[in-house]
Amino acid sequence: MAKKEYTFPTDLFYDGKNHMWLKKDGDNHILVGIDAIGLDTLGDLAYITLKPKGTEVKKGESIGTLEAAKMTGDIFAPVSGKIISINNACVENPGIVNEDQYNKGWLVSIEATEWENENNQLISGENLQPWIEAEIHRMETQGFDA
Amino acid sequence: MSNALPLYAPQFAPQTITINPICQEIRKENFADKVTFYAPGLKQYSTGEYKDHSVTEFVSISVTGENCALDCEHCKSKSLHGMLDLMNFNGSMYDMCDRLAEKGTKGVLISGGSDIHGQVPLLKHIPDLIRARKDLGLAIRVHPGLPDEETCAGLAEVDVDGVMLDIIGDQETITEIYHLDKTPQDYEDVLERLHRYKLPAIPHIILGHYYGKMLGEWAALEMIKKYPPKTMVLVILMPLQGTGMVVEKLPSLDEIGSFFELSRKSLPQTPIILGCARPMGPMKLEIDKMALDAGLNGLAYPADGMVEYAREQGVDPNFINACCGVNW
Repeated sequence: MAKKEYTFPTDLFYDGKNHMWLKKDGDNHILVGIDAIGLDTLGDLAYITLKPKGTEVKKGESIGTLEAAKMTGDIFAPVSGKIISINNACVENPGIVNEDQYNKGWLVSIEATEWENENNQLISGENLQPWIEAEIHRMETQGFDA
Repeated sequence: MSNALPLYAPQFAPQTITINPICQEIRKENFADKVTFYAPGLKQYSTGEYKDHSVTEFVSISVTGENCALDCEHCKSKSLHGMLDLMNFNGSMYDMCDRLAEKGTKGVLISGGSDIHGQVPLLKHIPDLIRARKDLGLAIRVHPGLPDEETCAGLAEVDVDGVMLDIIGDQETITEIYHLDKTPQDYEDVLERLHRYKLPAIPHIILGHYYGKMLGEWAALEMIKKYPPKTMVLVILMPLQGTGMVVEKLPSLDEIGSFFELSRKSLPQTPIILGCARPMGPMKLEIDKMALDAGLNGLAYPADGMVEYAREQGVDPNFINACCGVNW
């Protein structure tokens, strides 16, 4: 069977625990979505709910729920802050996430309030490739290690 | 894109559906005041009402990997994608079961793709399954497709917990959706065969199977009534992404509710469960409520809120991390 290949843009940060990607701009505005392994684990997304704009969230708290072919569960905030926008297009049509997860498929934008303290727990730069390889290995053996 | 419904939570016309209260009476008369929610390991499942799901407690195994000769319109072998792949495992069926049991697995669903005759090739695994049942104590469920005499005899030796199969009462659905050279009578013959071998049949009826239209569902129910099964499972067509199946309209809430009601009245003493496959999102919530209103005995992967809804009806909810009807 062909080995799966995953795309991980190198200009993003990644939440290693929940497989979310983060894109930061100069104002501590963090765009958040689901990374390639996360999406593969979920299967096709079917239904998304997101907490409304203005909601204060702590890192690790639920910012919404999703239903997908292989999962029903929460979406967790990768950083603490305030939700400043949600991607209604994806709420209305979760297929956008399946088709274009790193661009049109973003879920929420969070104004981070603890970025300096929390960003060192994210994966980026030279740590990215080893983490991807370790995660792929874990995925391949997960049938017996989940 | 056409007007095809994708897998996403479909748009639906909100309706107030009233289910005949006699359905609740039938449930009360024939069963304890309880409802069981099922969550097998096919998907990770967590809601506000249930956080104790385990994906390893009940595991699905495909004996053919992701391969299937039928290429059914509603599936295109995608149903096999979340299963453990025996073909890629370095060992026998027994070895795989043994390894799983070591990790805490209590039950397995042995599934796989079909051959061109609609049969899943289980026969060669029968000796291993007999051992797995006897030595490991696993609950063993099977998806045999349309099992022949020899397979039924073998499954009887395994002492399977249940034989799960779709029952189709419409020729067009068999020919056009399944691409099978079979007739509704062939499905009835299988029910008779399972009955004769005293196998615990768990027939499934797929509502809206023919591109979202209900055609053979009533005939399927009539067939099942002739051989009252261990459990009957109702599911609703869920067009999977990537299958290319064009479904412009799913059965309405009214049609679904009516069929739940008819099923409850037709099989008053048979546990009836709403199975895994059904639309997601807001429509799922309405469907799940109707299932409880109609006195069904269980739901797989219930929508958030159903535990509370069951309690409001005076029904005691409990959860099992396994396929419909499994009991540890």
